[in-house]
Amino acid sequence: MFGFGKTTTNENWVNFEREALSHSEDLYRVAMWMVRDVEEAQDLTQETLMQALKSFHRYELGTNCKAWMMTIMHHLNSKRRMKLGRLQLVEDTEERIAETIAFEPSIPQNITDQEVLEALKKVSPQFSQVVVLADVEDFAYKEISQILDIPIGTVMSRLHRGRKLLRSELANYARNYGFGRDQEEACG
Amino acid sequence: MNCRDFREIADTYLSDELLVETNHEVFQHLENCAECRQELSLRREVRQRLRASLINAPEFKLNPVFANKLKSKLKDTALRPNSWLNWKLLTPVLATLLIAISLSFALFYRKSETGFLTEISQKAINRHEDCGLRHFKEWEEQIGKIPAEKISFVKSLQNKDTEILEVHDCEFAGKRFTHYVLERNGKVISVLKTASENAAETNSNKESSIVCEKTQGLQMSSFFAGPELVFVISELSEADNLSIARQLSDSIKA
Repeated sequence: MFGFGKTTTNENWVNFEREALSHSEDLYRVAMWMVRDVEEAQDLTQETLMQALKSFHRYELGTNCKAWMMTIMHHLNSKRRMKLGRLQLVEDTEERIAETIAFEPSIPQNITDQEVLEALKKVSPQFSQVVVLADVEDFAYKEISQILDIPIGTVMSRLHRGRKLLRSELANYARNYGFGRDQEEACG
Repeated sequence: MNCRDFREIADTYLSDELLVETNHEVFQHLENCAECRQELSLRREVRQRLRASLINAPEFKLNPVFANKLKSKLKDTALRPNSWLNWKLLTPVLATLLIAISLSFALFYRKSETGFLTEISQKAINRHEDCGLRHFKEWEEQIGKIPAEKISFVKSLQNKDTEILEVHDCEFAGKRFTHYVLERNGKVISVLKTASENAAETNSNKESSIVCEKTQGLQMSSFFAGPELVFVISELSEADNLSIARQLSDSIKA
């Protein structure tokens, strides 16, 4: 542990810079995905890093600092949303819509980065959030469970549905532009 | 494992979150299924594009100016000698110290005040018993003969039930009093006035309060009147004794 009583102030800063500050780009990216507003994302990133600095003596060397800070950020964002009255619980309707995708849409070929990003933006935040944490930020299911403070089973089901919805959006996107493969290939 | 099964777990396979046994089944299926190999390849590509699209998109990039300012701010906070880090650790210690000092001071002050009053009270009671009660019979003959200017301090207490018997200066154990001896319904009342030796006791808060207590079988009321301390001591009831003290205090203020 980086106990403030055990190391000098300068050493603490060096440790913080190496372990925590190096993830500021990742923090901002996820913050931006959460709030979709530059100023709010900057505030959230700053607040998260300040909080991490204050609590750095609790961080254990060798554990995942990025995951630790994402947990802080998620808590701060939840508090912020609660203050603004924007906190929403998981909506049943969205869960149902995700369940009603009867078939597994095939992925269109020749898609661009921008198209993938646009497709992801159309996916409900509660599903896209876990997709971003898993597939962009490379967190393990267990880490996502800790970051979002939800059971690992919920992480898995949201990921499954989130990815399915993303593929569905990509398939729609491809169909609208007249390219991509036909879905529902009979296989197996 | 068939193709439908594979597609259900293909993403989990890419995330390396499958059990070892299931991974073996996936390998076996992929060896024999070109369609699923292509599906897996596409999903991997989507994931790579997804990652690249977010990481490379300008809107998801941290503004370098903001990043530098933030770094400076964090560094200042971390390296500041009197930063919150120190305050956070020191605050409980300082708070405890402050409470301890306040309590000590309050206890010391209370003890001093109590000691101060108790000492003078004892001397006043001695004057009432050794002077007032012992000689009041001699003074009953003087009723109405004391010059008015000498009894102006207690004049307000004089009525059909209360007579002023005597006024003199007396001393006990180095403490001087102006001793007024009164009589109400056959009971002796001593009004003793003395200089307050403690300037702190003459503050405005003290002036407004009358302290009552029963000691050695006597009722004693005391109050501060400017730089002086006044005692009313008698065998009357607490209410009557207090009433006299209040009447006297009011007349002094008036």
